[in-house]
Amino acid sequence: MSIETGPKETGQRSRKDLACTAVATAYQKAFGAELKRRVVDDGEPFVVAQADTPHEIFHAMDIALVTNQWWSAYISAKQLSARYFDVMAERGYPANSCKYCSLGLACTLANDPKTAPWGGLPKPALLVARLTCDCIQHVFEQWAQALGTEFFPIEAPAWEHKEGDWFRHSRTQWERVYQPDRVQLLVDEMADLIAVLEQRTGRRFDAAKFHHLMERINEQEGYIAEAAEMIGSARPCPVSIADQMPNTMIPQWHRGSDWAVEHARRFRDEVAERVKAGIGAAANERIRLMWIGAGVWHDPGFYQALEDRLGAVFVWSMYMPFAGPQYIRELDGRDMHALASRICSMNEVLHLPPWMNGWMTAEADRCGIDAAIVLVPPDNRLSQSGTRLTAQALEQAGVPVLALDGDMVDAKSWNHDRMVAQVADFLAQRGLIQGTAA
Amino acid sequence: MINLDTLLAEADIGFVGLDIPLEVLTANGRKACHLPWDRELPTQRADTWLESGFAPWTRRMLEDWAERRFDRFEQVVFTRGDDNAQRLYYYICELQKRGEIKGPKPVIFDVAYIRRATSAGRTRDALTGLCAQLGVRSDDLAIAAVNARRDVMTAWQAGRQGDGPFWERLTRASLFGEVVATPPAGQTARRILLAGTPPPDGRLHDAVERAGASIIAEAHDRSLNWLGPRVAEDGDPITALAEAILGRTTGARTFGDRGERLVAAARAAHADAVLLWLIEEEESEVWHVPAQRAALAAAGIPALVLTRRAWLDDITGEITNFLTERAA
Repeated sequence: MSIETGPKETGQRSRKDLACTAVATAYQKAFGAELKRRVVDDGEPFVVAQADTPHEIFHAMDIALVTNQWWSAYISAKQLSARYFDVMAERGYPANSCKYCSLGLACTLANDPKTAPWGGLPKPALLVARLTCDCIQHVFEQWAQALGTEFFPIEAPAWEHKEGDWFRHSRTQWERVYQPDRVQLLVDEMADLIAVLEQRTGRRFDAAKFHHLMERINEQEGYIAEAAEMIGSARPCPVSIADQMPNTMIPQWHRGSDWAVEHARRFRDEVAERVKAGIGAAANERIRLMWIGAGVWHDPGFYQALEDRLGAVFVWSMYMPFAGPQYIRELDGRDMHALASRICSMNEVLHLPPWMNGWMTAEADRCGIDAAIVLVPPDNRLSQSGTRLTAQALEQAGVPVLALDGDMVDAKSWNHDRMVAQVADFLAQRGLIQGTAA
Repeated sequence: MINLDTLLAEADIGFVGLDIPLEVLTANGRKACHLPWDRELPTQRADTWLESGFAPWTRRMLEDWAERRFDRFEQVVFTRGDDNAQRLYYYICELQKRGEIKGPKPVIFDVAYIRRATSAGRTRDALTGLCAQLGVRSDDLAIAAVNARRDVMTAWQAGRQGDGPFWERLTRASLFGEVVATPPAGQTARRILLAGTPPPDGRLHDAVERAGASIIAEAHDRSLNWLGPRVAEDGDPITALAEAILGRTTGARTFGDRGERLVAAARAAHADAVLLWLIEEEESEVWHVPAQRAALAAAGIPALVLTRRAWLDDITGEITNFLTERAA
């Protein structure tokens, strides 16, 4: 879940078509500078947290937040990831250990203030992560120890109530969909989290501010959901994946803020204008593609190379259409429970059957998808999880699927030209284009 | 020592994960059997469903499931305390829904290891829920019987002096049913502690034996202590069981300093050296390799560290060289 669009380590840059994309990236750049001022210069208490944790709590308490995935992307943008992975290897961590969540730990262990972003992270008040895999608790435990602070883990409980069409009911029937005891567990854990934060930061949780935030998040995600609807139904696809991702993810990091709500509205309006004018992301749209998995952050030009060469447009990636079903919640006076229902399965619906395949198959149908490309990272069970069963479900629904072996943050195994050619060959083999890109 | 197919034929319920309490599974005289991973057959069907990051044992289990080897069980319980096991649960549910496989009803044991009251409560609720799903009353839990098994196995471990392959077979057999054994005589001159990933069978123990030493204890999930700490036999049985489960020190989701823990295990076993062996698909223990290596070095305990290994690894050459160098 990167938001950086600055220089990358390898690959090719992407082209941005929407005016609001530049606004979003400029805002994020300024936010980075402001965050550094708060955390490093002013020494404000801050938290390091995974993307799938209740950021709303930190926002409502006005606690500065460094999201692990954002920090990783920031490190990557400084072209430091390869060096830090080498440091991990030098320290004896096997080279196959999961890289997606450990780059921040690697940066801290490297302990090189001269070259580290911000000179390295100062001591946070707390580290927070949901335990969605076997490795994250170990990464965060060790990171907290290295930073001299505490780790607050959050359970990722089993999910026995299975609704494959969860996305149709999650706004209103969220307690049933996400299982009442799972929702309650996270409510209880968040109460503990708030108590720890109050004790460690001196900040107070403001229920009224939190309620306002939750309402504003619903408004923001509503705009993004409208944009997703338009992008799925319009022909040609009005917005490339290179514009979809930053305009979804950057506001998502700031969800509920005045800027984020306004930006989501601006994005929705710009999408609507392009639909009305019949403007397409590609000059000659021939194939509508679905991208399953995290973005290839080190080669953002990969997607548009396929648009430019083959008229193969990535209509769908998970970030934008996720906003509607996984974020919008009818509050019903139960703000904390509504938030818990948003967070308690954020990872699971993207990586476990039946939720992953149920949603993605329905989305492929909604968006008129011709073929799907699945990113399968080699060393990460969680990121791989559910991809084969989802691929089979898509094939069953008439959508050809290609699995691409590659990592979202480690560029070592990725070759831009080879990957583009692999997709082109696949599309040719499945009769979607003639010839290949080679 | 055992006939696995006989035990499978006699068992009433299956399980996947060593932190699922036998006290619940074997209540009311039920016989419980961990799903085996013994058959060295191609896993063609499982490979179409499971991604490369799954541990190899999951493929064999799923292939056997698809071939209806476990059909006689009404239920199979999977733990959430291991990522492979919990994902396998979701995959099997989905494959059954699609009609791709049949077999017993999958059940998940939602154990929660975080050291907070909310997680302890979740584990108690999970135990209560598991009892309800299996039709077991809390008064029926087989606490005393399983404690007796624990005591026998603890005594075996305390008296273990050599013949690593025998003890490996015995430990593995104990997952599939109750075992009786006469401990072998003899004492090894060179005592090795095995840590990291539980191996598929006795191949590591055999290799160490061939090199003139013996594995005399295991510091991973599948040791003679796999049943975990004793469960208090007075007071509320669910609370007692939850406390014992949360007192476990092995397993992917447990917390604590694994460097110190490994040194303590090596000292308790009077080990001359440690063999730390991890497979390519290992995702939890792998994060502790530097700390474990450093702790062992600080304690002056020699270690052979083998990471990213194939599950069906042959370490004969490496362990022989390691022990030869140490002897020189």
